[in-house]
Amino acid sequence: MLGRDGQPASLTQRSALHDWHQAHGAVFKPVAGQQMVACYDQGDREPHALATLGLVDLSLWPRRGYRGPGVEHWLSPRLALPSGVNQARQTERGDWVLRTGAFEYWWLSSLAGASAGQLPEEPAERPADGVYDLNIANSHALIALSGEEAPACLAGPCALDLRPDRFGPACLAQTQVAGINVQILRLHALAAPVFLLFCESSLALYLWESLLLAGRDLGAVAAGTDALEAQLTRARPDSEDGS
Amino acid sequence: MPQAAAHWCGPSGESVNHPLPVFPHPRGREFVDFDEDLQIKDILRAVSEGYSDIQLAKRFSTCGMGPSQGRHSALAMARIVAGATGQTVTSTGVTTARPPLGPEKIGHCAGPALFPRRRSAMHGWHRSAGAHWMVADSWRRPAFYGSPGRAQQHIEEEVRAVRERAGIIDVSTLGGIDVQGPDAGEFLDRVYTGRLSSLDVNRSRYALMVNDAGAIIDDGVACRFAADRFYVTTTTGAAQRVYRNLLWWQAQWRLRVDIVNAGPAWAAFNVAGPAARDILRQAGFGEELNREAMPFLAARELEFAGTDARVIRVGFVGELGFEIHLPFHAAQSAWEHILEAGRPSGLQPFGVEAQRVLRLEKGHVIVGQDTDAMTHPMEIGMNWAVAWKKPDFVGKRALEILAEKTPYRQLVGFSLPRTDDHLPRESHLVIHAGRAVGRVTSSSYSPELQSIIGLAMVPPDLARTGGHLDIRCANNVIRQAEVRPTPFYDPDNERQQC
Repeated sequence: MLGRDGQPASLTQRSALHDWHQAHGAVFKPVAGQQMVACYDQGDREPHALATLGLVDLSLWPRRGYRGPGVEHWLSPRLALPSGVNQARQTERGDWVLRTGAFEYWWLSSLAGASAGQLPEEPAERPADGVYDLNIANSHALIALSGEEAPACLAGPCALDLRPDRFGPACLAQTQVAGINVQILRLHALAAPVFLLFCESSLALYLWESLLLAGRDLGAVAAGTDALEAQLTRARPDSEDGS
Repeated sequence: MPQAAAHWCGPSGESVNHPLPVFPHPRGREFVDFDEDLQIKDILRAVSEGYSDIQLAKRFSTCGMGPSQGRHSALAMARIVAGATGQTVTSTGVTTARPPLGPEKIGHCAGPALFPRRRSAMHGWHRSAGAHWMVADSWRRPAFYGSPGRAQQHIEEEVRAVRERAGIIDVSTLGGIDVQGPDAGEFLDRVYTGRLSSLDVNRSRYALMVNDAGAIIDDGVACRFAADRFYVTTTTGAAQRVYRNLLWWQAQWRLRVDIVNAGPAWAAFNVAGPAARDILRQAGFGEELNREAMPFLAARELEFAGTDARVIRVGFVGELGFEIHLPFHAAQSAWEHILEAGRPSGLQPFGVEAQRVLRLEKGHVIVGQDTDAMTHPMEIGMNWAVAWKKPDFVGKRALEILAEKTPYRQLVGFSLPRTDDHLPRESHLVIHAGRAVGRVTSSSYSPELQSIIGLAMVPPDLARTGGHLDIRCANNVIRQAEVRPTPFYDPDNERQQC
């Protein structure tokens, strides 16, 4: 459908993993305003897989980033910010706020619940300078790694000890996985561990395939957002600072 | 003393430095490097083929490149080269000898081999369109589209499409950095050779970066989208390094700027050719890209189909060109839409090989290919990219010193008639008076000019237009090329500025 002067009405948003999903029988449906993988052909296995070891592509999940010397002053009246760098905090409505630098915050929409996939309007009255946008919705892919075997899956390609007693809920780390820069967030204690991994979009397929390879002997499978939603809804987290 | 061993001595028959413990082997097996199985005759052969510089002789012969890393052989080779060239070891120098290599454990080779590979947003489209891939840093880029068996034909077709109609190329691999804040212009003035603080809003300018020694390390385009907001592009291979450089300098200077590695958020493609503007108009860009709104070197932030876009009027390939940057996840959709809109006008995708031919016709250099780790702007005719009147910038002092010195090499264009074999290739040597004095940095067949064209780094006395260069091609065949002014194509820049 064409819009103004021959423009398309809108540009289709595609995850960097789109072709992989298609080649593996993905069933797409609108989630959070985007066409995301609801499930694959083997959809009935996915809820169980996410309890053991499953990967979900959330690259099109809504998120924003801000940085600059004025960002804390600007955001703090509206958002409960993590108290330190490499910490994350869940808001009352279920969004996640990640502090990825002294003057840098990422704001990720809630993954489950009534406000899942929706980000509220950004705080008004942006200061004239000192607050800059980060287009993390495009610069980074987002992959959820879920299941009891997730720490074991990451043990090979990542040097960090991600077991719960060392890397607890709401902990955030900027590290390397399979030789590339990745930000890892551990969500609150759920029925099974869930890690969110952010990497540059151009490296998304590489990370995805590396994780599948690392988890091959642990039964890793790709899953869709339907199974992830079920997994997250089954055990809602308590809201606490991850410091 | 066998004939080969005699070369250990200087022209007068005296030892080059001091008497050497040379004992002729009864069967002539005078080994210099046991790792690489090299004898004196192998080093002498390297010298006789023109690799008379100690570093070239090392690389040609591989002497010192085995496990012992030159510990045993470096000095011996230097003495042989000195003897064969009538010099002393003091003047030839010696190659670097490094600690011997340790053996690799088998266990290190076990397990999956993980090589990070980047893919642009249009990667899947390229594959479906039959792209033949080439490695570009950690990326795979389409070299051309079509079967490898007809590579040259495909490349020439793509070149002609750009020159006669329009082509589109994925340039997402370029780096992109946002520099924002009240001191952004001042900051960029300090790290690039040109003056960017004077750039008007919605304009772009070529940006050249040198290191402390004045050597070129990167180039790109700087765009100003607001008084305090710039976007600079970098070459593919230097994207991370330039970003780190900027952060490092900012850590020293503490200016009021914020530096963001914005490249990963954007995909980019260049639509180039005489029909480019009409095609983009058909695709819905409307009058925002007309000649008045978007003159040469303009840079604008637009909205396209509800998505933010950055459009830069630059012309690496020497035609009317628009470099369009779009958010990563929306880019393939836009790419497909523009291709569809351009189908009636003959728009076709082109790859890196065609791009290299096109830019070579325009005489545009590629940093890292036409330059090396020592090349400074004056050697490649880029004095114009240096704002000498700026109070200071990284590398200024070194450039001032270099500018006062007598240049010892210069990048020149050359051409020669096409033949089917013995073509000059990158790194082929320029021979003068029996010595290697320069090298080819770029060379290709130009469908537009119907001849071989190229760039070569040569001594200034060989750089005169109309002069001749002897280029040693494969199998030691010498091809004579004529020194030509650049650009070879459209010297008045009428096509890219239209």
